[in-house]
Amino acid sequence: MSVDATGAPVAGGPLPAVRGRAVRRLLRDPAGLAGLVLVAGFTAAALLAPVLAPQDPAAVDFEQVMGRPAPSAPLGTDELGRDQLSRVLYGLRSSLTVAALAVLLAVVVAVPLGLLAGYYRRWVDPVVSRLTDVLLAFPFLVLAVGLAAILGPSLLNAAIAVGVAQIPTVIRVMRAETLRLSAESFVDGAIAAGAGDAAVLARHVLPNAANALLVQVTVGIPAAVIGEAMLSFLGLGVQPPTPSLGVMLSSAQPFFAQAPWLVVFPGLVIVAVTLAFNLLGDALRDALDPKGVRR
Amino acid sequence: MGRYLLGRLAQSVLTLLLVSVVVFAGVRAMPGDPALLLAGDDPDPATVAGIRERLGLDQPLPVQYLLWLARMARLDFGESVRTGLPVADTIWTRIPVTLELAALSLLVAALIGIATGVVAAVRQGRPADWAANSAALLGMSIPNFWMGLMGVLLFAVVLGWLPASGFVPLTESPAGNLASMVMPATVLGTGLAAVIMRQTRSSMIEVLGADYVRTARAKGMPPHRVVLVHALRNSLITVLTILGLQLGGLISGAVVTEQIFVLPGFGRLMVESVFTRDFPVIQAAVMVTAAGYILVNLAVDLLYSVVDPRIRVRSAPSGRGAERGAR
Amino acid sequence: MTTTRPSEGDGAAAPGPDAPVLRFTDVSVRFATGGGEVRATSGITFDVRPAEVVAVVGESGSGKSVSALSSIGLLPRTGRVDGSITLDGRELLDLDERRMRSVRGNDVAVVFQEPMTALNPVFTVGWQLAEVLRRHLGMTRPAARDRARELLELVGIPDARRALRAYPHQLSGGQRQRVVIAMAVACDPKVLIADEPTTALDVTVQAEILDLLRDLRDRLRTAIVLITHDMGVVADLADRVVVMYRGEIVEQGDVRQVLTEPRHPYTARLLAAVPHLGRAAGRAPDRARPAAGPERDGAQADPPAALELRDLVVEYGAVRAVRGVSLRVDPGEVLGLVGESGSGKSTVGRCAAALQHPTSGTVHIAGRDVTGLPARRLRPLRRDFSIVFQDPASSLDPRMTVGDSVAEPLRMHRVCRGRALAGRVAELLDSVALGAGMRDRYPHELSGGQRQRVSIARALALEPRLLIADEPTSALDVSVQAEILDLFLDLQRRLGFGCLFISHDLAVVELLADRVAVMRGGEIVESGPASRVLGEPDHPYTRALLAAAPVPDPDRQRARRLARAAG
Repeated sequence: MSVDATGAPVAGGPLPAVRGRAVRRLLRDPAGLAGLVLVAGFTAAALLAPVLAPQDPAAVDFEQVMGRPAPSAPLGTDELGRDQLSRVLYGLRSSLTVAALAVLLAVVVAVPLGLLAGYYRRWVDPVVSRLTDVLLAFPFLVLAVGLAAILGPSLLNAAIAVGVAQIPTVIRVMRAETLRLSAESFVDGAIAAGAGDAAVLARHVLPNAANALLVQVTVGIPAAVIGEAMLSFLGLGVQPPTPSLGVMLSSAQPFFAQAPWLVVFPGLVIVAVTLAFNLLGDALRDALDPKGVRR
Repeated sequence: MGRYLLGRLAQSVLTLLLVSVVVFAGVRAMPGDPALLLAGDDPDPATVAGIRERLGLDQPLPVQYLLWLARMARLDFGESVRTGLPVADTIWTRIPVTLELAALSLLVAALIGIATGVVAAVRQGRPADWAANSAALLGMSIPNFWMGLMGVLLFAVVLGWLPASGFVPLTESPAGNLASMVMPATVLGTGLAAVIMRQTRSSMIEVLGADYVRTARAKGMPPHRVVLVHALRNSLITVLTILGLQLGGLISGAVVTEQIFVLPGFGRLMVESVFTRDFPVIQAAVMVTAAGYILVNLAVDLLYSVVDPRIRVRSAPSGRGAERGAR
Repeated sequence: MTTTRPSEGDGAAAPGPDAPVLRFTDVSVRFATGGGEVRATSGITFDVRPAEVVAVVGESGSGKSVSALSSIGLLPRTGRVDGSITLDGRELLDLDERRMRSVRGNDVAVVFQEPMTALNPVFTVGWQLAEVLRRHLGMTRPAARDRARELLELVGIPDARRALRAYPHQLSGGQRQRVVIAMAVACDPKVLIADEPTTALDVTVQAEILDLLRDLRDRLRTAIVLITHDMGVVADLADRVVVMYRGEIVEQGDVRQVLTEPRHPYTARLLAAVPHLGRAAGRAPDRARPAAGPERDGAQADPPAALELRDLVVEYGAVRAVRGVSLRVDPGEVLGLVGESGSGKSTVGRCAAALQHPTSGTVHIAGRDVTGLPARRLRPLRRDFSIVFQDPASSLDPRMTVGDSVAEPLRMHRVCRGRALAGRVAELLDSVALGAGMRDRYPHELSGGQRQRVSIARALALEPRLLIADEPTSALDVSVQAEILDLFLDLQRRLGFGCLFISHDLAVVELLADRVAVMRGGEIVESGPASRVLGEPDHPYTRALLAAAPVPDPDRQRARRLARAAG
């Protein structure tokens, strides 16, 4: 590749490694910065829900049924007179918990499978691809329906359903990265230098695939937040009285003509959380892309 | 070409068999005695024994699986615990609604997604690109069921332009059918449109930088021809892949959308059955969805080979096998 | 082959037959980047006459492509062109995009470097050819189809009728490049810009393509701007030469004068760096070698061979990449393994480095049989041999510092640690003339030549008895290649390792190798002492290879070409 097409400085290696530069690029991107700040904010709010919530989210008050937003209850009160703001904070907490568990499950299962499938093309790869095909054949709601039928609906089952649904994507990303990296001569070079398979995967492939995985996790979380909301909305996920953003929408649906704020606010929070993670994910992808092209 | 097709077909059959094993295992993992469950509300011992014998539940597990598989293959899903009607009949009445919903939203999504994706790629870095990107990001971040709720609130409750819910069969009134489908299809299509737009944009940007696009420009081809003829067909290849993968999301989305707009579809049937513990219906629904998913993806692969001649006409093996080019 | 050109106005003074057709006057190109404007070229002034081949030569980053492509507005959006470029007296830089389009592919056509990617994969060859004809000459579909067939015949594609219906991936690299050329000459252009047209091709194919270009120039009287880095190609085809360095023209003139009596020191340096086939011939024998006996008997091999391959066969499914290769590298000897792409030479290299299991046959390294050893048993033996790869961009882990990369083999084999390790790494970097300051750098902060130096240091870290070098310099500019080859020769002499040097470049092999083996279609067709194989080849293929490789001397190249045409 010694020939210049444009005369512009020819970019060097396939992926510049220095993270520091990527972080700087991320912080210089307004969308990325906004995403980062919002993600940090929402995470903090979820963690500190017990401290931040003005009321007990379960405190029923029949004097205040479906109250409009007011200074005493900034987001109004629900059909049982519970404070919406407190419920939103706790709801955010359980939604993010489900999302984190789901993505964790997907990463723990899929990363090794993807690495092995990409590295051992002959034996492991066909098995793993049939496995992903099977998983893909169960759309996550169908999977959740099945799980709910077998185990009964719960927060954990929602997390499992959402997490399992993400496994094929993560496998695909890791497999593709491993394939790409194994074809690079530095992997052959490491083998020639005396590295065993484990050392090659751990020291050369995984670190170079980390960027792609990081981006995948960042876009996996908002997908999981929406997934949880869908399941809980249908009654297949988190069960009332535990608040979650989906549960709140579900229980508010019958009253949404009389008390639209009960539907509007939890939904807006979902949108904001999802948007924040998606912004961050996009900015991360750009910042880590050596070509510097917005994809 | 023939070998490729055969290979794909064999893969699909294998996947379907594996799926059936998973579903069978799931059915056996369901709480309670299946015969007892199938017997419904009056567990008369004679009926239970009859069911047990009919289903071969007294046989060893592998035999049970084969018997079960044979029934599934004959589309004999048994009777609904709740209604007593054959499950197959119920499913066939529900599927057209879901298919219509899915097809309409796919149409909406593909039209909007591909058009905006192409524009964004061509105008990369300009305001139009920025606007399209922001819209796509927002579209991806709004849960479709919430968007549906907001849509109902605005167009049905506040403005009264469209029906809030309910379904008018196409055979009854095409206009009414369309009116009842506009909102659900739009809501379901939005998220998908965002995904398609992003994929179209990124693969268009890549293709627009390709050598053969430069060749087309060097040949003096006008920009619209370079973009729409030379570049688009190549980028649609990757967009197609994404479509196949998004199908799962589309099915999941359809389930919730039907719930909100009270459409008598397949997804609604599925959710209802969970709460009524109508196991035969759940089992059939899961099986049918999985089979449908596999079939559609097979079709996407075939379509793929139509768009991409490199798949249609296989030549020498590439990749690790071929010597890496010496220059 | 005459076409009337309605676009040619009668207003402009009719240029004489020898007036320049394309004229660059004080052209400069700048690119807007995040950190301000970057000047790619400046003060470019040269012209091209009808039926003349002007070579624009330079190394990467010299701005040679940019200058030529600026004439038809094919630069990236961020580029800005100043100065004047005229085609038959008509200013091209003033044309709006629409008028420029009727020039592109019609009056000025381009042949790009990569034939593998220059054609659209989803359309047939015939469709892509007809497209140009219909656009610029307004031909009907059937007429365009007939003409497309004629064009394919013109560029020497056998069975043109079938080729019309083929998709690009069904053609070989050379055939694709012929299609690209057919497309370029479809509208009988006044100027053909050939941007590294043969760089991606094998020498024998390159020779054919160069012949084709010469033939088209003679028949169509097309002016050709040949952009290249290869002095041999220049000597073969060019009438005049423009030498570029860092965005400026340092010298231009008649090809004979520039290549034989360069005036500018840069041109002289560039020419000196080009390995000259035939020039090194007398040098190889007087190099002092530890143990390079001229003749040897297989029976009494006292020190075991550094590498010995016996009846090596490698199959990929139904494809036989290597069919029964036997070769031997003695301690301290350099064996040059030469072949074109697809000859199986890299596969042989991978087997020799035990990165791949042969289908059958045996691999002995330093006297030990490593064939089919499981990875675990192989690992300790890897101390004895190492490998240097072609592509400097991917041969070092981008996430590892230079120091870590060099230290990896030492760590893996637990040779040393702590301070001793750091000392050894510094010593190794020093041996490839890289300062200790390089240790904490990442590969992307290094130039291609520096990266190859690191790769060599790393490969020599364990003082192996055998080094496999797979095209280690073919991705580098000639001047950098010359430095790396010098370094390599020096290290080889000092450390005395045996070396399997794989290359497609006969001149490079001649410079380094004691013995040469020539591969074709997975077999060794000829082997022997370098001076004999390259001086008096036995096998017709070796002769063809030697004849096809252009030498950077116009007179000698002309004689060689005529000899090749006669033979």
